[in-house]
Amino acid sequence: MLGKLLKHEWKGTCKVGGLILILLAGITFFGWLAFQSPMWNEMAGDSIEYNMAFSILDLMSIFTLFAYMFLLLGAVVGIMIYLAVHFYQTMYTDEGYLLHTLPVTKGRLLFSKVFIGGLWMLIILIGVYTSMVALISFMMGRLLAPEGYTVWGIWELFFGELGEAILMMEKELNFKGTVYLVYTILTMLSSPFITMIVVFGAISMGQLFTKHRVLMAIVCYGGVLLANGLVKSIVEAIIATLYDFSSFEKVMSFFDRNLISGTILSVLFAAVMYFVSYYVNTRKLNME
Amino acid sequence: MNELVEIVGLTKSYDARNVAVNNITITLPKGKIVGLLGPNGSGKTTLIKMMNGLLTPSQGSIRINGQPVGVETKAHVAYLPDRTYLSGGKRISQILDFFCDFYADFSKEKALEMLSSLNIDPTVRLKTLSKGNKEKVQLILVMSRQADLYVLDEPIAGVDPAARDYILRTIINNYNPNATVIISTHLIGDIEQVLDEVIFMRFGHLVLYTSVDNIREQHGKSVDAYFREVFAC
Repeated sequence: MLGKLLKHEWKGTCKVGGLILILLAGITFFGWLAFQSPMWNEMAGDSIEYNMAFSILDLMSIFTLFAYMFLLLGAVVGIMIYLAVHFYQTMYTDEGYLLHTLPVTKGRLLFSKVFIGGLWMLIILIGVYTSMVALISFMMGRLLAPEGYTVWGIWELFFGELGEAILMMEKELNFKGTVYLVYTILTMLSSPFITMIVVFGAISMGQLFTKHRVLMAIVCYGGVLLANGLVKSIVEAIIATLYDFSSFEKVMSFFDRNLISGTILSVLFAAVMYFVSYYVNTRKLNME
Repeated sequence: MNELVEIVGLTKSYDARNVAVNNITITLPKGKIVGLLGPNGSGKTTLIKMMNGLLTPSQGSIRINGQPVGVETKAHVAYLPDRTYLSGGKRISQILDFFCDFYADFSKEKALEMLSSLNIDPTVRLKTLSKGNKEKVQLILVMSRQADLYVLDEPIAGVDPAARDYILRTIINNYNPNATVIISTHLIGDIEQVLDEVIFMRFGHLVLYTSVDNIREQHGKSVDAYFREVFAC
């Protein structure tokens, strides 16, 4: 049954998710337009003595770049809001009558929602990163082409230098670069799922109220984010009191501890919010 | 064992002053068509929602086929809510596939046959249908299952008399004869002829549970007339 739930959840969300992906392609094109102003040509032609006077086209180029960044942010916020509304509609409004009378466990039902929701967030984030990498590649390629660099060559150089820097820091400063890299990748992969668990948990918490459930869900979302931030700050402060920061090694060790405690807290926070959704659906479900 | 639904001490209260269902105990047998009757706000829909796991009881228990409300019971209960619960953006064929995937007792052929008799094209989106046709599609989905218990909440409310006839015909001609059908309504005159038993509810309380024959024999009245007498304002 889980496979069927996942299939139908995917089908139910793929239209809007796909549309946002197409929009991302459009936004990337919009960002590309920003680099068509004469300013960039001059920069590429002579990086030192280019004309410092801004034309209207140059100003438009800067605004277009800002708009591009906001639109990217909008795509991420957009999919999150859509998934939240979709979850609320299919679980707690009239459409919920269908899902909650299916012969499936509430655990599987919830898992299918979280998994597909998190997957869509991840896909959109990958789309955003891809858009940014594509645009940076284009810009770098354009600026450095006169000096004989290819786009591939620039990235090769960048990652080569980055790798060397990490190795050097690992060797001389006791900086666990590889660990940080793995941690960053794992965070990027898990954070979309954690985000959706928190959003769905807050919506489920809203169902515990007899009236104004949507408003209470929004209030709960703000409340749990605040509580999470507060707990993290307190834990960070406690860890900070245990360190004297007298050497660089100790500072790095502090960052390590902070990273670990932050990760554990995020996972615990997500687990609590997942349990809240599960509890509301199994023990406190009261469809209007 | 002839009992299908066993409800013991069932109560649903939202707060101290708002008790929607109050300490109901009742056992329903298999193979009957039962009318769940009462004026608006009597607790019919609340009772039905609890039977389908959409509301959590404050007290008491419900067992269907000996099982508490859950995955097992939902596989054998066909429920028609008192509202449109299907996404309007979906095509009817997609909804049929959805039901096929989740209900082992759902017959797609039967559903298509019933849709065809109403000239409803399964490729159209639900939102393009009239309110009456939407309700008919929902009923067709429910009656295309070979369930043990059919729970129909206000199936004839808000539709014209011709549609009411169609709905009642569809129920009578398509339900599993070994199953029990619970029909909630306050339009008693329209469904009286199909009922075996009736439950009267008022202010969340169970007022009466008896057979239709018993009402006719003991009180010399139709269910509709007796209902008007019991619930006279």
